[in-house]
Amino acid sequence: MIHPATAIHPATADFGPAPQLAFDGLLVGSFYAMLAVSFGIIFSTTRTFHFAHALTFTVGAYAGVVAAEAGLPFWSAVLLGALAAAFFGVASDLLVYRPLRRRQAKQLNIFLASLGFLIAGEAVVQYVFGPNSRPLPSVPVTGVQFGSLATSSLQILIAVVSWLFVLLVAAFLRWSKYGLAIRGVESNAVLADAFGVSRTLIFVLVFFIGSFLAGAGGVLFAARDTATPGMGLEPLLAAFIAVFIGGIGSIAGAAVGGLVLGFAESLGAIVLPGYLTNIVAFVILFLVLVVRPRGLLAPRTT
Amino acid sequence: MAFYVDIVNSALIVAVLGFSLNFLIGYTGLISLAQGAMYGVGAYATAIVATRAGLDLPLTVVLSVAVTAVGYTLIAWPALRVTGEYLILLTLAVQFVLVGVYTSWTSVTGGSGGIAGIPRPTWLTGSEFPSPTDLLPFVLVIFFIGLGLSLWIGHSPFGRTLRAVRENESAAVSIGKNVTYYKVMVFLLAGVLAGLAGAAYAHYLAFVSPVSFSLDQSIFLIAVIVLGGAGNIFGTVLGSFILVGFPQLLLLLELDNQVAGLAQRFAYGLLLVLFMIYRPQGLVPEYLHIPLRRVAPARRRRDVVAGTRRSRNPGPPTGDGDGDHPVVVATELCKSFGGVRPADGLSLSLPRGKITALVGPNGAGKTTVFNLLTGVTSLDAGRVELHGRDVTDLAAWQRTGLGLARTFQDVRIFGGIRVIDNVTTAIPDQPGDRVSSLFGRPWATWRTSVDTTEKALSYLDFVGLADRAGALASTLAFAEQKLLGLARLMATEADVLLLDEPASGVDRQWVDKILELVRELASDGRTVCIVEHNLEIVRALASHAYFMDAGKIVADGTPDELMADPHLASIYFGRSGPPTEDTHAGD
Amino acid sequence: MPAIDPILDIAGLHTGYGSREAVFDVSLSVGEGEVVTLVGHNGAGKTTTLKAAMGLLAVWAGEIRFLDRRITNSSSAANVRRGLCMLLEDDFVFRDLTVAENLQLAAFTTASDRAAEIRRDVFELLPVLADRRGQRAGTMSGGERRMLSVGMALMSEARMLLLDEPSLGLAPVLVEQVMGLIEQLVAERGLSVLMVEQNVDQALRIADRAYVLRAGRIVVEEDASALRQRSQWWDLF
Repeated sequence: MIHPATAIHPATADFGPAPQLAFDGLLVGSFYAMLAVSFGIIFSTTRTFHFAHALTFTVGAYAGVVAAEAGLPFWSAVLLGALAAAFFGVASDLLVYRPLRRRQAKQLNIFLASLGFLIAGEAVVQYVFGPNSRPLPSVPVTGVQFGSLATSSLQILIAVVSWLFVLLVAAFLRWSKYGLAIRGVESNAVLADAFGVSRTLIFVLVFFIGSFLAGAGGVLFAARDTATPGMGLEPLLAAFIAVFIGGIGSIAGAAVGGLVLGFAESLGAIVLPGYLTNIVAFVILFLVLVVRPRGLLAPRTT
Repeated sequence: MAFYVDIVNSALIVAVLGFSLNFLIGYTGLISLAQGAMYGVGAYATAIVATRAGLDLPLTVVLSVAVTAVGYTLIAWPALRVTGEYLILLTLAVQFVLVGVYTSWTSVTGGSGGIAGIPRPTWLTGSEFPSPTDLLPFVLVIFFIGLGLSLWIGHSPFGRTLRAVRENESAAVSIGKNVTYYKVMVFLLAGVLAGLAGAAYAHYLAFVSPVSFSLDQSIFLIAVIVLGGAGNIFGTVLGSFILVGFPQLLLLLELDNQVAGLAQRFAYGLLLVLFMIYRPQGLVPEYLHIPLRRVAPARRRRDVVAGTRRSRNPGPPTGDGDGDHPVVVATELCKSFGGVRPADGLSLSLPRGKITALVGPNGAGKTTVFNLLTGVTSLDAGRVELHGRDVTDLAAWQRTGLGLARTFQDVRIFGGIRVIDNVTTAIPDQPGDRVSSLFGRPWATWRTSVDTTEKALSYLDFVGLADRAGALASTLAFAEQKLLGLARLMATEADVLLLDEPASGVDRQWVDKILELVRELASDGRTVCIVEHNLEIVRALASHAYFMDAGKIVADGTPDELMADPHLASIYFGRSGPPTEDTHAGD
Repeated sequence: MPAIDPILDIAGLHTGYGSREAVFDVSLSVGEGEVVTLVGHNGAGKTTTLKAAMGLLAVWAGEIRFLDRRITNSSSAANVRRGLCMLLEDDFVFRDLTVAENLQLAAFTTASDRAAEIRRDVFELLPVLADRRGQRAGTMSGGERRMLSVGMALMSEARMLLLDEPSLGLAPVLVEQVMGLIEQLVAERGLSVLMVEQNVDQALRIADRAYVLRAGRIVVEEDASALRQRSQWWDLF
C-alpha cells in the first residue's frame, strides 16, 4: 500500500524552467496547506497524533468516487466525500481516542492505536473497493496557459478550493462562538472547562472540521489522480510535516508550512535527482526541528 | 513440513529484530518507525559484501552488526533533542530516506530488483539448495545469540536503568544516571540486534529487496512488540510467532491470496487498536509474577542506615569529618527566567548531621534553590561547593555521584517498575549498569546482583516497604510512594539529602513515620535540607532555617527565632502593621 | 456556620489526585452575600477544595450543595450555568486570546443578548478592560489580568465566586485594588465569595469568616475579625 519512492505529487514528465516549477510548487503547496490545516486544527486542540487522518482522506475520496460513479455532479461528489469523511473522523475520535483518553493512555499508545486503525481501515477499503486505482469519472479538465506557465483547470480549481477552505476555517476560528471556544480550549483547557466549555464537544467539533477538509482533499486528489487504498499516507505525511514546520497551534503556520513543502518539492527537482525529491520534506523538517524546534510561526513564545 | 519450518524460521528472525525494537519502545519508551529500514541496513550490508566481495559467514554477520549499530547510533544524535511526536516524525523520515536509497541507488543496492544470489550457509548443511529444515540450525544459532544477548541486557542493571529512564527522566538523573549515555547506548544495542537479524535474513532468503524493509515492516514490528508485551523479551518471541504464523495459517484456509493478506493486515491493525485500549501491556506483562529471589535476612536497620552512608568525595582533609565545616556551601546564586528572579544573589550553607529548612511564602524560589544546588537548572552566576569541592560546572547526575541527591515534591517514583527495582537501580557503581562492565565484567555483574538486591531490600525494610518489594510502584498508596522515594534516595548513598516537601500530601499517621525517618537519617551524620510549607513540620524537624523571599535569603536562625520576627510575619502573611490599627475590616 | 442560609455547603468532603488523598473530611459553608476565606500552608488542600466544589475534580466522598441543590460531581459546565464561577490560581485568563475574546468566551453559557449587556456593565466597572479590549491577555500585566479574570466571572453571571489566590504575584497596591473590587462586588451585587488566599492579612480584612486548613483538614473555624486579632498566625500554618 505504501510506495515511499514515488513522488508525493504526480510526476511531471519533463521539468520545465524554474518559473514553471515554482508555479507547480504553488499549486501543490496550496493543496498541502489545506491538508496541513485539516490536521493542525485536530492536533493542536486535542494533542492526538491522529495518524489515521490519512484514512479519513481515503474514505472521503472513495465516498466521492462512489457518488460520482452514481452520476452525481462533481461538486456534489466533493461535498458528499467531505461529509462522509467528517462523520468518519468524528467516529474515530469517539470509538478510538475517547476510550484511550479515558484510560489516560500514553501519547505513544494513542499514536500506536492510530497506526493500527489506519492499517485495519486501509485493509477494509482495499477489500471493498479492490486494490486497483479508481478514477473519479467525468471530471472536466482543460489546459490552462498563463504566459509561459502551463497547468490544468483542475489544478487551478484545487488550489482555489484549498485556499477557500483554509480561509473559511480561519474565519470560523476567528469570529464564531464555537471557533472562539476551540481557541480557548487550545489556549487553556482547564480554564475553558471552568467556564463551561465542554472539552468533549470541542474535540468532536475539531474532528468534524478537520476531517471535512481532509475528505474534500481526498475527492480532489482522486479527481486529479485516482483513488487507491493507500493514497492517504503520502499527502498526509506532507501535512503532518507542514504542521510541525509551521508551528503547532497556528493556522497560518500550517498553511505556510504546506506552501514551503510544495515549493521545496517542486524546486528541489532542479538540484536533486528525481528519487531524492520526496525526502526534501523530511530534510526541511529536520532542519527546522534543529534550528527552531517550536516551528516557524509558533504562537507562544515562552 | 518445509512450510511449517519456514514459518518457524521467519518468526525466529522477526523475534531477533523484535528484541531490538523492544529495547527502544518497551524498555526505554523511545519510538522508532525506522526499524524496517534499519533491518535493511543489516541485510544489505551482508548482501553487498557477500555478493561483491565474496565474504561469507561469520564475517558478514559481524560487518552487518557493526554497520547497523553505527547507523542506529547516528539516529540517536538528533533523537536526543526531540521526544514524542517529533521523534515519530524523525524516525519516519529516516525510514523514508533509507528506502529511497535502497530503491534508487541501483548501482549498489540493485534498485527495486534487489540483490540475489547471497550464499546460503552451506557449511551447516552441505547442500547447494538447502531446504528451510536444513537452515533451521543456522537460524536457531542466530536466534539464541539474539535471545541470550537480549536476556543478558534486559535483566541487567543496565536494562533496569533503561526502564527507569522510560518512567521518569528527571528522577533517573536525580539518582545519578546519565540519561544521554543510556539513550545513545540503547540505540547502539538496538542496532546490533537489528544488524544480526538483517544478516540472518539475507543469508536465509539469499535475496534482499526494498519491499522487505518498508514502513509496513516497521509497523508490523511495532505490532509484534505491542501484542507480545512491551518490555518483555519472551513477549516479543510470542508476538513474533503469532503475527508471523497467523497469516500463514490463513493461507491454509485456502483463502484467496489477496484476501488473506488483507485479513492479516486488518487483524493486526485491529489488534493494535484493541490492545492499546484494553490491554496496553500486551499478552505477556513486563513483569511475570516471579517471586523475588530469596535473600539472606536483611541486615539490621541501624546497620543499613549507618553502614551505607558515605561521602563519595573525601575532598580536602579539612572539608570532611570536621563537624563545624559546612558540607554544602552555595555562594551568590543567581538565576532569572524572563523577568522573574527566583534566585537573586542567594547564599547558604548546610552543616553536617543537621536538618536545615528553607521556608518562605509561596513563590519565594525554594524549589528553584534545590534545582540550582543539584544542577538541574543552570546558574546564571554563583558557585556551589560540595565537601569543599567546586561542583558548579558538574551535571546533575554527576553531583548525585558525589553525594548530593534530592527527592521531589511530586515523588516521581518509577511507577511502571517494581518497588524493589526503584531502589536497586539507585545503588551506585553496580557492575553491569554500563555497557562496558556489562560485557567487560560479566562475572562481577552476575555475582553482584544478589548483593544489590539484598541491599535494596534492607533499604525497603528501613522505610517499612519490604513486603511490597515485588509490587509495581504505581500500585502503592501516595504515602508509601513518599517512603519509597526516601528509600530510593538512601540507595544513592548520598550524604547530602535535599527533601522537597517530605511530608506533604499524606495523612497524619504517615507524617510521624516520615518525620522519624528523616530525623534518623540526620542523626546518623547525613546533611539534610528540607523545603516544607507545613510549619508544624519545620518546627518539629529543623534546627536551623533560612527564610526566603523573592529569591533572596532575608533571615536565618532557629524556626522559633524566625517566627518571632514581625517583619518575617508581614512577608509571610502580608500583615502590614499591628492588627488594631486597621479601620476597614470586612464586616 | 453562617448566620444566614448557606449558598454553598460542603459536607464531609474527601478528594485528591490519582491515588493521593489531599482533602480529608472537610465541611464548610458560605452564606448568601458572605465572604469566607480558606487559609493554611501551601499544600493544605485549599485549592483542591475549591476545585472539587467547582466540579473540576472528582469528589470521593461527601456532599456539595449549591443554592439548595446537590451538585456533588456535577460538571463544571452545569455549575457555571447555576451561577458558580472559579478563578484559577496561575492560569486564570486565556493568554492567547484578546481581552474582548476572553470576556466573550467567559460568557459561553450566557445568552448572547444578556452577554452584550453585561459586557457594557463590565467595561463601566473596569474601564481598563475597555481600553485594552484588543490586546492579547498574555501581554498584560499581572494586575490587569486579575481584573480581566474578575470581569470574566461577571460575564458568566456568577452568583458566587471561588477565588484561588487572587493576590498572587501582585504588587501591594494592586492587591488592595483587587480586594477592593471584590468587596465592591459583594456590597453592590450581593455576590458570595469563597477565597483561598496566602495573603492572610488582606483576606481577613475583607472576609466575614475564615477556615484554617492544615494537611487536608480544617483545624480552625473563626470569625475573620477574631482571627485577625490574634497576636500571630504561625501556629496555624
